[in-house]
Amino acid sequence: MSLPSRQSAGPYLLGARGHAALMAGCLAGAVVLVVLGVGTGAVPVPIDDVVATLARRLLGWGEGVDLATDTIVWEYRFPRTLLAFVVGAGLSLAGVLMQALVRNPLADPYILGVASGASAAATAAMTLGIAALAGLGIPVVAFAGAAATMVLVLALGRRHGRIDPPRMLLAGVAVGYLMAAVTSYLQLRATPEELANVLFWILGSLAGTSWSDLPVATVVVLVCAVLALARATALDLLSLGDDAASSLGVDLPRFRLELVLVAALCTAVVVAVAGGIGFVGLMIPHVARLLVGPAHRRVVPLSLLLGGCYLVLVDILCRVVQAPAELPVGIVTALVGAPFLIWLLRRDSAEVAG
Amino acid sequence: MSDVLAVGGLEVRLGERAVLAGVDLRVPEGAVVGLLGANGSGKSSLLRAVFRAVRPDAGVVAVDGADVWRDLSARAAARRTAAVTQMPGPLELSVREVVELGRAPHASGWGGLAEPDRAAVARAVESAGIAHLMHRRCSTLSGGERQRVLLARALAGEPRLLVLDEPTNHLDVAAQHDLLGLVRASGTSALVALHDLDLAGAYCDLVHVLAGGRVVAHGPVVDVLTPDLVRAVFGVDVHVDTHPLTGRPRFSTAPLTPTHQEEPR
Repeated sequence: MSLPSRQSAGPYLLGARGHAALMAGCLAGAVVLVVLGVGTGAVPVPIDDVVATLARRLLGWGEGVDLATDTIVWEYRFPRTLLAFVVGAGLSLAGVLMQALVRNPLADPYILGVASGASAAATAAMTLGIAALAGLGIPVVAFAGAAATMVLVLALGRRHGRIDPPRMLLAGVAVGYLMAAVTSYLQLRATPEELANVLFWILGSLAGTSWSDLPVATVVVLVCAVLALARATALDLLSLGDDAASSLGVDLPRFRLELVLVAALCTAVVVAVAGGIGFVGLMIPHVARLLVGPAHRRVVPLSLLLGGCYLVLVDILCRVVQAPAELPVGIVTALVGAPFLIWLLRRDSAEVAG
Repeated sequence: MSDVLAVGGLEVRLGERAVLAGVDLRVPEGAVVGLLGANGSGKSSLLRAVFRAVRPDAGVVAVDGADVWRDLSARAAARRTAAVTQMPGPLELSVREVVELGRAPHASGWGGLAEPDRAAVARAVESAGIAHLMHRRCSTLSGGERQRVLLARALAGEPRLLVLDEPTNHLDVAAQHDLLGLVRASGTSALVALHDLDLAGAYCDLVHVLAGGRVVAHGPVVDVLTPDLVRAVFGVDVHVDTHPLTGRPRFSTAPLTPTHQEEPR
């Protein structure tokens, strides 16, 4: 008996070789995009100067350039661009996990209401003028709001002490609306200036990123990514159905709880630093699956890379389109992403039909 | 003869309702055992308790003497028992990926397959006759092909016991015989829920009949599926004779006639 080898034409857009090339391309693309991202902005920095500054700062090579450029590159643009990558990667990972958990392609990181909770808390801090809230910093307040929402949705989304995906979905939607109502009410009471800040935050923005925003988000997204990769087989088993997954050794109640916690935590830290950037977590997992098929040992790493690259690109566009003003990231993620996703889906179905 | 599966005093409740109310059942080594019963009789719940998807409220499910709920982890139980279950809708994984997932209870968490895993997958693929399908997406398969793939996935785990929940549903006649023939040919002990009495007669060594969450009869097919029992459990009249081609029992069913309905049991 002869079995076709793994290398021969597979059922997906990209075979094993294409997948390897794509991963390498994404890594290279990430480096190029980060350099471009650092160079772009109200004060453009030539690529040479970006490379020279980063070389001196990261590797201790060369003399670098003048102090003003060094400050712009190192204190503002580089952390911002890195955070864009981390946020994009984190949202995409959370999207992959949520879509696997509820076995629904429409799921995204926000169906648990986490972002709505973060928005409500952040809006309260920005509009109520409570010194205690403002003093903590918006990310801390937003994370507290996200975490509180997550606990509430988890408590409501259980049946007989176990997570029940449909019930949790409903609980997430309901709590999300509740939080959105709170946010809207606070917005009505806000001054025009506060309102502009609130809107900018809710639509997601990386403006004003400093190095202090990076460590927590980066570590959490990395840990979540490692956990997701370690459970790639169990994620695949989940797609075979509850009975099949159980019969193949997945402890479903425990695994579901793990998934919810990892996805919600990943979403919460990302939303806390960047606001409610939409569409990335919905789109990137689909793009990854269309390219390399649904197996999670390929989808998880590719989604992390694609999501990171995509948000760095979008953040560049946000600074270029209306320069010197900036657009909120969330507007551009959907404006650019939605047509691309539609095109890719149509292309994929045409190929299946043909 | 030793029993691969021994179920004793099994109870499963859904809220207030007892779905299984004290079920005893054995699958001897190498036997194909049919599980018959009307819809709602508890067949699926029994199978799900066996392959560790529903935790029983009381009783024991033992595979090779080990209680799958108390003595074994989910993975250890999955190494002994493999299930052919319904697919939850279109699946974009390739056939190869699905069959390889049958090795999940044996492989490490990082999804790598070792040489023994690959060998087991190759044997399962050959037994199920699906080598030509390996690169297809599951969503493009016909019903019969899909069930063969699920059987291959189960066999890839080299289980001591196969559990199949109505594996012939929605299959054409040839595919029904094909699939159950493959189950028999695999030589693995099996517990199969079926609706079709003729298929049970043709492929099962023994049958258990469930009604109202209890086993109401068990034994060789011809001894168990008497006209009286079939009338009582399935609500149809039946004429039993010998299949002219296979020599196995043949069941010709008909709606209950009023005279039969009025007969005292």
